[in-house]
Amino acid sequence: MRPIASALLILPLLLSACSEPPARQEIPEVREPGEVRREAPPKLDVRQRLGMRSDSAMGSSQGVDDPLGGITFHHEMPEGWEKVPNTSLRQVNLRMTDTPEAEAYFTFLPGGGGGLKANLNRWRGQMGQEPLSDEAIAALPTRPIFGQPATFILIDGDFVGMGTEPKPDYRMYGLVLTYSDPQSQQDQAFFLKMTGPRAVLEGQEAAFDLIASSLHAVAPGDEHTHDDDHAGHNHGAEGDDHAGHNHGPEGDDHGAEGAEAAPMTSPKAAPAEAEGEVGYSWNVPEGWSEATPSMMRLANLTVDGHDNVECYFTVLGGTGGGLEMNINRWRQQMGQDGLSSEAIAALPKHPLLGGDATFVTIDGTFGGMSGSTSQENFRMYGLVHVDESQAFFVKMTGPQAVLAEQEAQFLAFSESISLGPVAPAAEAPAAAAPAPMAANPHGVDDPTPPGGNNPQGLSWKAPEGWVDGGERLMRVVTYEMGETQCYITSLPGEAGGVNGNLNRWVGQMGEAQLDEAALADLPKISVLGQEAPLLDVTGSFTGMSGGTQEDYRMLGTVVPAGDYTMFIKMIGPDAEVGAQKDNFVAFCASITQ
Amino acid sequence: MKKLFNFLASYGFAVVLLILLTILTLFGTLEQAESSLYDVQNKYFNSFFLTHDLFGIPIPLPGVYLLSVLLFINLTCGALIRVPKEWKRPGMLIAHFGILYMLVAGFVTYHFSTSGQMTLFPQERSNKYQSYYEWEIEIAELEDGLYGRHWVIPGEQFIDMDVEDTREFFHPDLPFDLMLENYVPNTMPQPTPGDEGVEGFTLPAKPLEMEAAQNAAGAYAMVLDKKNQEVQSGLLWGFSVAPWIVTVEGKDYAIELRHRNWELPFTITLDEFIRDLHARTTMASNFESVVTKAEPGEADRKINIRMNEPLRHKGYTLFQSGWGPQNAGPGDRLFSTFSVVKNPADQWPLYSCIVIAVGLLIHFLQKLVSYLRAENRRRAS
Repeated sequence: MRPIASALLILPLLLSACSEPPARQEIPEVREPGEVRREAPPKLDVRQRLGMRSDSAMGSSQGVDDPLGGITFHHEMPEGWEKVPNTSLRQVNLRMTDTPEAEAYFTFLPGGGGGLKANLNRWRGQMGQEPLSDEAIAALPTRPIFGQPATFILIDGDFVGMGTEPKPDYRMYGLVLTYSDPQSQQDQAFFLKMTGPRAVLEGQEAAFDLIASSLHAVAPGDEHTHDDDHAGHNHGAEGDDHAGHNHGPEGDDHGAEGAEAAPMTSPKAAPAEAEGEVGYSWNVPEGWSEATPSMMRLANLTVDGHDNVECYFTVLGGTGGGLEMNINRWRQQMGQDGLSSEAIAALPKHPLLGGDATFVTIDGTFGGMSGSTSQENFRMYGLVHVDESQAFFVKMTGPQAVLAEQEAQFLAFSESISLGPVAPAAEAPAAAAPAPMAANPHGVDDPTPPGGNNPQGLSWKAPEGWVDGGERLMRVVTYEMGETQCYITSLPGEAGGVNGNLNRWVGQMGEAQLDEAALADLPKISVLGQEAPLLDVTGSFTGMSGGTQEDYRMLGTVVPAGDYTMFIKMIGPDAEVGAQKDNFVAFCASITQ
Repeated sequence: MKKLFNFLASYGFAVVLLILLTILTLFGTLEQAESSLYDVQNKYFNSFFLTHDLFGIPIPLPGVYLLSVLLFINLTCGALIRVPKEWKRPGMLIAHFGILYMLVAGFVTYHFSTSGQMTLFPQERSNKYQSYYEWEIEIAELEDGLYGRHWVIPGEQFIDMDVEDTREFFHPDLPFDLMLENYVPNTMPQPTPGDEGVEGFTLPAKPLEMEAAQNAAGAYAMVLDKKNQEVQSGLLWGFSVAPWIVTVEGKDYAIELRHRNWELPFTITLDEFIRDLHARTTMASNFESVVTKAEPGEADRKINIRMNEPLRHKGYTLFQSGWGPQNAGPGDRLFSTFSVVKNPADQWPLYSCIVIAVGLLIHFLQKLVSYLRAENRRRAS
């Protein structure tokens, strides 16, 4: 009896073990289009496809998109919380890592969203509580959001979401700020809300306050009177104050107003987002000095002896709101009426980055973006150039008398701005994805043809025992030896620079970053006829898949080779990689172009 | 052979199976504290074998699917074939038949049912519903600004991939092959500097969510032109807002990793969504949808779908399951969400319960009558 039972139980296991899925499979379903055919989707770049037009992973602030028109909101991330995808009504969407039912989110509603009382009482209703009277609402405490006092409410009760069963013993923290935008005369409402089990949220009030106090809107125009103090300002490497500065990409794509900034203007007033992935260079006119660039100001200049004069250069993704809107916004800041399309079209032109930029001179009382202090008898010079994918702005403000003397310098500065080399930066955004590549199966010793994953036509000699790992995305070639892999990647440009990438690899091994001296002291090997640093680091390897491998070792080198950068990396168990170190060095030396 | 039959038909075997089923139900229930209901169902109830972690000790166990098959065999052999045929106990025979019917219902439901959701704003219409959990990759031809023919790779063909695996998909009518790599069942794309990732992003694996519908799968994809061997690489992510579009031989194709879609043989238009609230709260006291069902060759029909009053038509059932958006204020436009289930065995559990109840009723009546007869005989004697 027993053998029969065993056979019955084991047979299905054996059957299932025999069915390893094939590596090449036919697509089984083909559907013809129905009578009602969907419209073809737009061709979007990867960030847009992923719903991440802003760069959300840089630094501690978390950038998100505002589906209402390009405004983004940033904040500090409290410990134990993580970002989840936004929804159309949640411009910031977070939850607790350990307690996913605890969530926090920020909503910005143009139009006022029903007002303070209706929303507070709606929240109380969600928690099974009676509504509050006007007097009781007026007596509620306030806490700052965007530097403004917002009504704070704490509600305990049984939480009822949308169409869900009541969740007992919940807590809600909420902040409501209603605001009337003086420019658009439109009501706006800002809501920050945190809900979750009461026992959990009792310890999260500080996290709520951190999000509230650090929340700030990203200015969607080139106007930023409040410089952001977040990390990510990669200033040029050279020390010369007056000529040929190279400015690397900003660490964060978006400029941001400080927490003290007033609430944003309506999205319609400034629908744009900033990008700074390309490096620019320019000449600083005589008698001018550079101030620290901000998130939005790639170049930020002052005129010596005149503190109230500033000139800056900004690049925005998209149209940046367009030519007319920006010029009329500037005119509004100077207390002037807007111009008609015809009048704007008739404005003089001046070269900027290879295009004809519209040049505008506006005299009046300068209110700036905050409108806090008015400066009489001011002048503004502005240049706007909008091309297919970006908008460029150069702007200078100051007393009329001073600016009248500086017009030639302003125009010379604008003319000198050009696309320049990018300063190396460890946190630089990734290089653009290469153009479509040609697959190129290659023999071990055969030079591989240029194009595809090997656009430079590199060839090499693989050491004995290395097995071709087959086609891999983004890699020129991959070899395997046991669990160990060795591969070559090449990317156009500097792709983050030598030291930046070496330190990123060190970070993948869980080790402390190397300083300049340690990087300079790395042993050198010969690659493509030049001396390249050899990184040899042992530790716990955390790859791009997120899994961690203990007792791993990495050998790697980064080789700048003209218009591209080559990466050669070996990763695997400590013992295996150790045994292959000589082979790795020989492999690197064998690479030719 | 007789030995095997006797074993399969034995009470002892039935008792072992029932004990194992009880243990698995207990373990599966406890596991829901750690994993999502969907994952637990797959691990304990839809499987042949599994390993349960009991205080750090891995315990191999048969899965409920296997046990159900064995129980079906046991009941068929024991209760229907081996029992005496002279109808001495017809009630028990009927009750056992009812249990077999229920097991068959489970089998049909598992293999032939689909379930998902359809969300509509008022005046919107659709003939599609989308799975909560299952994935598919759709490759669609784009022509004249419209979607054309599309090829669908069901999730079963790639969700078993490990992060290191690569898998290639082809179809004779497609001018390219699609290769997948780095499939991860839950991920959030991260921008990356340097030499890794695709299109400037990597897909680091995240732990699975407690609510399986919140998992966002992702993979690197490579399109290999069959003619000239040109390669284009891109990123597929389940929560993307738009598909990845590639151009091969002058024609555009949209490639999308998304929750699985199925078509209904009829179209639903949401005419009106009605929501009543409890006084001074946002708790709905009632919500219902007024829809119009349209299908070729039949007159349009207006139907109200509300809680406990689903629309059943052509093997599909549409339940009123939710509405939104969250935090909608007074006067906001609301959408209505329907759970859509296609299950040929939809009503079979109900029928099997009736059969079992009838069987047990007959059996107990029979017992009662024999008891009363025996009592009468005892009194008479």
